[in-house]
Amino acid sequence: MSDLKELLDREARLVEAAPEALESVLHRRDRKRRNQRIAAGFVGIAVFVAAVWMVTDGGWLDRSEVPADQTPSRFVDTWTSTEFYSGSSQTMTIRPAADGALDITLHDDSSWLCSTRQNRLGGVDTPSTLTGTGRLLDATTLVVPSFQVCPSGDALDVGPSTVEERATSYTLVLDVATDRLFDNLGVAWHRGATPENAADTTTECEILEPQVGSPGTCSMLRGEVTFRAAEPWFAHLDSYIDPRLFVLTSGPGLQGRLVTMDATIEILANPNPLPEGPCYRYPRLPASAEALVQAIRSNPDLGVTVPVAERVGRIDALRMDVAPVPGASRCPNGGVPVVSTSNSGWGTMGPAELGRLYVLDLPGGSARTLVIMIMASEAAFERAVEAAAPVVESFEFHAG
Amino acid sequence: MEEIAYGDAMEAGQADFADFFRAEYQTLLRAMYLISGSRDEAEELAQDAFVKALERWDRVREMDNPAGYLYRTAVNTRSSVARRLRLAAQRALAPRPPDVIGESDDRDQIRRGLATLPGSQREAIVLVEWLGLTDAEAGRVLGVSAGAVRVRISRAKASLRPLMERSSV
Repeated sequence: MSDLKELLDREARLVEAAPEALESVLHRRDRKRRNQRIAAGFVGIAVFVAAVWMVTDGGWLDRSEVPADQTPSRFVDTWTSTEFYSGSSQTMTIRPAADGALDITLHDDSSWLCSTRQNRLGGVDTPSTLTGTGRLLDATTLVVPSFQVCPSGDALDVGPSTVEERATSYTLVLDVATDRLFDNLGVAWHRGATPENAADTTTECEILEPQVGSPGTCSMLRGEVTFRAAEPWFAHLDSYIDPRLFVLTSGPGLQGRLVTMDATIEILANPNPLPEGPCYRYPRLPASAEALVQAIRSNPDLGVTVPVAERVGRIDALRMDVAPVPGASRCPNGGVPVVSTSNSGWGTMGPAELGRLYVLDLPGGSARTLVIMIMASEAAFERAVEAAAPVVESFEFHAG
Repeated sequence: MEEIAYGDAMEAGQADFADFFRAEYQTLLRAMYLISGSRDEAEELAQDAFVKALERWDRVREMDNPAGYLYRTAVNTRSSVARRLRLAAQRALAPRPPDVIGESDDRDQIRRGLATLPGSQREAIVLVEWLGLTDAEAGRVLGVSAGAVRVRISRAKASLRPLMERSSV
């Protein structure tokens, strides 16, 4: 048998770093900063215009006045979203078409989809556009079978790409309560401009290293959700990678990442009910808090207390305690799954751990729900809950 | 285009970032190429990971294993939903030419073989077999246990075995 490493090596050597790669990274960093400044300025203007409109003309929009028979037309508008990782903006325009169909145009302001390699390396923004036609499945569900891609017009399957989910078309669901669209790739779309939030400049926790140890304001979802944390909690490395996730551990948070997790607080945006089969799935249509709670309570692998209404950051939440039952099925990381996340390894608890969950619908922004999971061994659970209380009490929501 | 003197643009305290970049970029780029099968995607992932590292350089430089942060970031970024959508579009735009009988060599075989593996197995085999990480180190990058990494590699090797045997003939 040929040596696998040698074959991989031969393949890898086909790719060489461009001489200007470092400059390209610096260009990207500068472009990102510039876009953030532009977005902040735009939002300031939008807030001012909205304030003037409310005072002088329209007053608050009363959504209950929208006639039921006009609900489908509520899709017709311009919607925006922000890409979780890069922060680039995407715009979606939905217009009426013939035979009750709807034309959809997706536009990304700085995608590499239609850009040349020279542009990409040079950090030059290259917009891209996708177009498609969809139909309403019901008053709040729009289905788009395929898109045409810039500029060649090739058909594109945009549904989730795992084989078992591939039959699903791109789907948009209108959440009437918050006037947002959620798609089955886990993205939230906002009517008009993306509501940036005032907390976007909040510094992240300064508790990465145990020896630093000072309390700090932690932020996730690009500042839409903030909370305060101090010792004994330390931020886990993953908290600085995925904006939809924050993990606080009571052990050393970083050293070699071989952490002693005596207790953890996982804060998960848009987790989903467990799928059948594998523990982790790429994002799906985000579930509501109610659906999440129902799924957790009906999980035969978990013992769950009756949910109690509480407030987290002045938002209604449901609190419940969970414990895996003996012999509960486990994920590859050894944990018993509680919720499904797209970031493997989280949303599970140790088979001998107890957990306290807070589940809530976010009032707006880029995610639909938030789950706060406090987990520790039975012996340490009460102390962990006590230590976590100031963190839970400090939550603030800056979108919506 | 405006000329920018990047030597001056590097902010105070970030001078060692350039050294870190030179030491790690090529290997990260190649690892992402093996995982993704696409030069463009590899370039995107590697560059994005370095931008994130640069934004947090004060912290990342103090880590025991800053390169681990890079790989974790790149692997996580790969699962970003919007990125997935764009990549699907990119694949639709540039379909690979059909294979011609008799033209395949070892390199084509390993490329095709990797492409048939689930992403999780591909990530594990590149990190361990090519990059030389231990199972535990790869587990930390991928967010799974060392045992799970071993299982993934074992399954990947089983899938690649027929291909490897053909290439050794």
